[in-house]
Amino acid sequence: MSEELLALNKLSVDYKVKGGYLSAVNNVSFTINKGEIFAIVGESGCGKSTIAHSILRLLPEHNEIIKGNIFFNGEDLNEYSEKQLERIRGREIGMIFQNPLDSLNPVYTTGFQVAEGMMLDNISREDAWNRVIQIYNDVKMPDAEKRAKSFPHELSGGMRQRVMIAMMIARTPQLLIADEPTTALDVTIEAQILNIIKTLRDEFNTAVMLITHNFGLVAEVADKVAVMYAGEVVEQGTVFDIFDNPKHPYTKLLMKALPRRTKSEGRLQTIDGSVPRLTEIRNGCRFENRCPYVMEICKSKDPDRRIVTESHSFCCHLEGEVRNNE
Amino acid sequence: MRNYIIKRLGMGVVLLFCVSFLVFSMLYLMPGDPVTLMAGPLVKAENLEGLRIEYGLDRPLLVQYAEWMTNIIFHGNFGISYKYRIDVWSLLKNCIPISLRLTVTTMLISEALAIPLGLLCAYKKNSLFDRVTVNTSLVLTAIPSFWLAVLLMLVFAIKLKWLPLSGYESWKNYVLPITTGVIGGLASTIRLTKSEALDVLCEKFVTTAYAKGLDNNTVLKRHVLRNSLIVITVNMFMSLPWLISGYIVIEKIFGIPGMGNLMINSIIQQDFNVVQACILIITVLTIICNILSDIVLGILDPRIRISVTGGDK
Repeated sequence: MSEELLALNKLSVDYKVKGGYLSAVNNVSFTINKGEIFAIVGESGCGKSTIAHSILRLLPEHNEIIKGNIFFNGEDLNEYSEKQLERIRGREIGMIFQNPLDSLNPVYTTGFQVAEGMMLDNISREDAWNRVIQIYNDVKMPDAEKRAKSFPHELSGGMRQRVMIAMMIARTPQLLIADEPTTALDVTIEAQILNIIKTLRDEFNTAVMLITHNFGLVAEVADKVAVMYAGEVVEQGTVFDIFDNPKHPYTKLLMKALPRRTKSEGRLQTIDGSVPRLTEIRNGCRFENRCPYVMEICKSKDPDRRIVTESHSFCCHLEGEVRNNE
Repeated sequence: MRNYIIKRLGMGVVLLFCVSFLVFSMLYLMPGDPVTLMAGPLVKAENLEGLRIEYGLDRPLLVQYAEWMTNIIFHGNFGISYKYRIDVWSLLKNCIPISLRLTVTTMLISEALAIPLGLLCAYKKNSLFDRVTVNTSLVLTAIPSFWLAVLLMLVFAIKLKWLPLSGYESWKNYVLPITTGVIGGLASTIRLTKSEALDVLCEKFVTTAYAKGLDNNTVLKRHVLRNSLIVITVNMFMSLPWLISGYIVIEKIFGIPGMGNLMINSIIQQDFNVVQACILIITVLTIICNILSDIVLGILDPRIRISVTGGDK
């Protein structure tokens, strides 16, 4: 069951900016197994989407430097040529984007856009079209035949996201990267889309990399979670590890910032300060300026990864100190 | 789609009447009188009155306009040239094909060159190729067409003797004028294509197309070019009437008896009827191009089709 599908090893992504480099992702390692839903959580700009895009080398400006390894079924995608990657995109790894309107071409029917990918596998136009209708039914698209002939602007947000999902699961990829798939949608549609993703996993054993800033969503569907802060994975573990036993100060603060059911708790807790923009190379923990438990060592030395259980690990000086004192 | 086209055509007809009236009254207000010019200084003033009556120039403006329009619409009669004393249409029917041949060829060559260049420039943004292409085309556009025309004549017709100096009999005569025209219009189309393609390249659906596993070529042709074409096509249709008026100078220099040449001569000689006819024809062309571009736009961009007609089901 727990067969390794995607393994990131010390992945770093730097963007070239005026006067230097911006470290968007730093030293990220994690493993996604077959049939697993792996969530990446973090606030805006923490590098979640950058990871997703760099796996398929889809970063828009081509001014990035990707270091480290992206092992997919044991092969390093980072070493692949553009041609080799084309065979991975869509067929082995599908990707769903955040805003389903921008992500569909306005001048083609949705059906054509779904069929377009399938026709790369040398199947005929009619077969592709029939398959489109079939997938539309799978993703619970109402009125599938008619919708396949509609243009994107004629569909609602939820339907567009269904088109997007249909497009990306059409060739039954082993991994589906969903980059904030429900951010632009309302809550009822969100639940339906999540159901589709879950069904997909159950039926085809597709692994899902779910990128989100919504902890509620994580709790609902994810098997494993990685919490990101300023380009680094600060803590990762199973969904139970993270929710029941958060170790990193950032994760703890995030948990406190979640809305609870009771009104009596008063205002939601927030985390003071904002995410640092990392243009210069510096040592020390990236959360140092906002951390309530900050110590001298945090400003000078990168924290090491500490292992809690086989699945659960985090990066912080604090726990180590505490452990030493005990 | 049918309603959409009918709507556009209706608007075109209304526009045509407005412009034709403006053109007609503008010339009416111009100083000078064709009859004086035609008769010359030796004819006495009282005799001129007879001529005015003969040509119907003594009647009110509206009556003259109504008669002029009915003649054109029902009889295809644009009146008589005061200068040449012949039917205006017989003058025009020789000029129009020459001008159209020139402009349409220029437009086609120019687009065929500029669209691929602009697309490549966008794809290889900031590369050497991009900079050289954009800057060269800008410099070429900055050259005034009359100077370029003379330069080309000097080099290819006089020094090298490859091509004839002027005239309009064989295709060889058209090479230099068309080159001049193409060079003049190249930069704007390249820039337009480039900026359009750059906009489209930044669109998320291009990333989607790549994520689907399509290769570079297909993405560029099917998704980038197809979407940039919307604006480029409109621009192409809209530039056609401009080209005709832009050819006035070039036609004059190369001695091509096209519409431009005819029009400029008629303006100098106050040959009202010919000027009116020329402007009217350019207006009609502009309106036709407008309607055509609207129709093509509707075909290329489904969003427009829907917003105008409420969808064709």
